[in-house]
Order: sequence, then structure tokens, then C-alpha cells
Amino acid sequence: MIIQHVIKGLSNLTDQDIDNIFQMGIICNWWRTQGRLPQNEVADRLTEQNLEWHQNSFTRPDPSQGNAPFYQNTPFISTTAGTVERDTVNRTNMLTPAWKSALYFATDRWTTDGWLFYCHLFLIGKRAVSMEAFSEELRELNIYTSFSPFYLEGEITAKLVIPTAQIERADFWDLSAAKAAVSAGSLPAPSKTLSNSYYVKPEKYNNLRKLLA
Amino acid sequence: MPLTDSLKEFGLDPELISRDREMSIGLAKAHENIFRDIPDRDADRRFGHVMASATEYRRAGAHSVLLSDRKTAIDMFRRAGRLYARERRPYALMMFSCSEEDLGSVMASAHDFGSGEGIDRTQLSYLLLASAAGREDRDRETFKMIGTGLASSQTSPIGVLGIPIGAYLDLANTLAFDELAPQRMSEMLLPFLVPYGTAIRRCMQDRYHWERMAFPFHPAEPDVLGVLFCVEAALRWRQQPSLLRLLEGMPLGEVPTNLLYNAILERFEGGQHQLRLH
Repeated sequence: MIIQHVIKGLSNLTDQDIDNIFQMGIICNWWRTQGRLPQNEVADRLTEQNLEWHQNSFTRPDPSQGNAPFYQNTPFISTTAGTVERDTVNRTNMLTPAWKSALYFATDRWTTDGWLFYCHLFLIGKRAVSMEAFSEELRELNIYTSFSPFYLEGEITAKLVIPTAQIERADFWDLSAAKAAVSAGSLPAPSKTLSNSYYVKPEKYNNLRKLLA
Repeated sequence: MPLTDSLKEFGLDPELISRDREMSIGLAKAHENIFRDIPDRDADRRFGHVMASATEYRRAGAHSVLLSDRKTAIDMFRRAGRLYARERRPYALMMFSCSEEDLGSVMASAHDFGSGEGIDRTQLSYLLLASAAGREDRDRETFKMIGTGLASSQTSPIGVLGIPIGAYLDLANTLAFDELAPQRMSEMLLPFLVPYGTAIRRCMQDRYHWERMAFPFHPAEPDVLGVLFCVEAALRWRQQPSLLRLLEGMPLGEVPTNLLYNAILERFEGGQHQLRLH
């Protein structure tokens, strides 16, 4: 199993919203729309077709959800891990840091302030769409061989919820400050950081055994 | 009609493109400011900032094509090209193909790469293509040396659209040795144009991603424009029929055809006489 650090960008959140997310995790739109997780329907929602719709047909009417746009009831959560592997950069000639891709969405395309949530997800290196515990790695071109034009650099798709124990912190990005930094020739930085006390460092439970010194 | 006047009709938002271009230019400069201070011993970290800067300049250049802002497009693609060249990546030639007014300037940069010694295999296709379009004997020598080495990698995909190296080999062979008859050029360019046209069509079916430009390739994709501009420059130099005529007869769909057609017109005819295909 691979423990992958990712970033999730969200906009229009108050500090209270951040507290709520630290309490219950980042939930998918389906859970949010329903007001609860319809557990008995999960198996029917975590399907290859829905993952494809999440990638490629985000606004298409979903017959299984009363023809509401698919995104309103998607059981998936998009995150980004950026493109950092030299091989991917060699093949695509592009390198986009994760925070930049996430910030583009978090600021609603550079129009509002945004939040970046630093999380980690679990991957197993192959397709496992029906397994809620494991996220889908769209970054790995060898896994999703049928090229999707919507394949975002370093997209990792979580399922149902990113549990609070996997959310390290939330960074607030003031758009005006970010623009001012960029205009001055500097990389932008977050204006404040909120740490999640429920976060569990992966170092605590991964399988790397250290020497007993 | 300039390309920028058609963006709304294509479902694209000129304000978003303009806003994102501003951020890309700023981020590119910021990464540039950082890597200039990174010492040689920290090459990996510097590589990351150089490539991130090149990526942002490349994006700003492509945005400028959509905005019919040729002056900024030249500046952005030229800056991107210099950064790729700094990392010994012949992909720089595709950037210069988008920026430079004549093939001679592109070839001057191509000659800096020699015969491709020590260059990553995935990058040699770009040098091969430029060498095939070149006019000098040394270009032919470079072409032969690289072409032989790349023959065994024909199925490897490169670029954001995953176009196989074999497509570059076939096109380069045609440019170097064949008569550039329109029918032949059509055949050789199809492996570039069909993935591009298909990607545009599929993206446009989902307005959410299309309007937000939330996809890895660009509507004015530099991977495709770089190739087309290189071929068009070679065709014009050899006084052969323009790709514009060829595009008119290709069933790529209205939006991809118009994007490419107008991009070529604006690149080679300075923004004059833009036509609209239907």
C-alpha cells in the first residue's frame, strides 16, 4: 500500500466550516446533498461508470439521481498530488506543483479566497473502484491507460470521505495577497494555517520498522 | 475575425484566460527568481523550479494565442523555449517554433543540441522534426543519426496528448525526403490532429471542465501548434501549398479546425486576413 500526500482545494469556507471538517472529514457531494451517507447504496455508487462520469461528465444529468447533474451526487472527491516524477515530466514537458492546481480550484479560478487541505490517501497501485478505503490514482498513466482529456496533473480521487485522521491542516489563501506576491515576483504563501488535532501522522502506523537502539 | 472574438462562441471565457495568464506569468517569474539562486549541487530542486517556470510560460503563451495577442505569445514561448533549452530539452524547439518568425531562428537553436548526444530519448523526436525541416547538410546528418536511434521507440507516447514517437518519425521522414504533396501531408499529420480534435470534442461535452479549462492539454495546444508551425514554415520555405488549405478539407470538427486555422493565420500572417471556417 502507498500512502500518498495530496491537497484538496475548497472555497467559501468559514473558520467554523473548517472546524466541522476537522470533526467529520471532507465528505463527498453525495453525502452532503443527502445530509447523510446512504450506506446501503454505496456499493451501487462506487462503480467504474461513476468514476468515469466524475472525470468526464461532471455536469451530465444522472438518471440514477433524478437527472440531477452528476456532480451533485458524486461519491468521489478530487484531490491533487501534482506532477513531480521526473519520468512524467520528461514525457509531458510539464511540471505543475500540487498546490498550484489545487489553488486554481480553491480560488474558483483566481476570483475568491480559498483553502487548501493537506491530507494523505491510501493507494494500492491498481484499480479498486469498489473499495472505499483505497483512492484511485489518475496520475499513473499506466493504470488509466485510456487517456482522459480531463486527467488533471496528479489527480487522486478519494471515495465518500477523507477521514479527519488523514487531514493534517488547512491553509487559508488570501487571493489579494497571493496576487500581490506573484506581481512582486515571489511565490504566494498562505495567510494562515489551522492544524487538525485529530490528524494521525502516517509515520505512526506505516510498516517501516526501525531498529531497537 | 481574430481568434479571441470566437472564444465565447467556443464556450471559453476570455476573462478567465486573461486572469489565468496573469497568474501564470507571475508564477513563471517567481520560479525563475528562485532557481537562479539555487546552487549547482542542488540540481534536482533547481530542475523542479526551471520546469515549473517553463510550464507556466508555455501556458501563458498558449493563452496568448487564444487572446490573439501575438506580441505576448512570442515573448512567453520564447521564455519557455530558453528554459527547456537550459535543461537540454529539444522540446524547446517546439516553443521556438511557436515564437520565432522564421525557420532559421528555430534551426539556430536546434544546432545548439548537436546530434542529440546525451539527450533523453523522449526528447529526441522534437530535434528530429526540426532537423527534417532544416535546410542545411548538417540538419540531414542529425536527422539520420537520430532517426536510426528512435526507430525502436516508435510506440512510446510523448507529450500531453500521448502522441507516439512513430508519428514524429513518419512526419519527419516525409519532410526530409518526400515531395510535400497535400495528400501525403494529410496522412502524416493525422496522428497529431485526430487526438487533438478528439480531446477538444470530448472536453466540450462537459461544460464544467471545458469552461474552467480544467484539463491537462490546452485548446491552443503547444504540442500540436509547435509541430504545425514547424511544418508550415517548411512548406512556405519550399513554396508548397499551405496547411491552411489542408485544414479546410479535414473533418476535425468546427472548433478544433477554427482554432488551428486561425492560430496558423495569426502566426504567419501577423493577425491579418483572419477567416472563419464553417
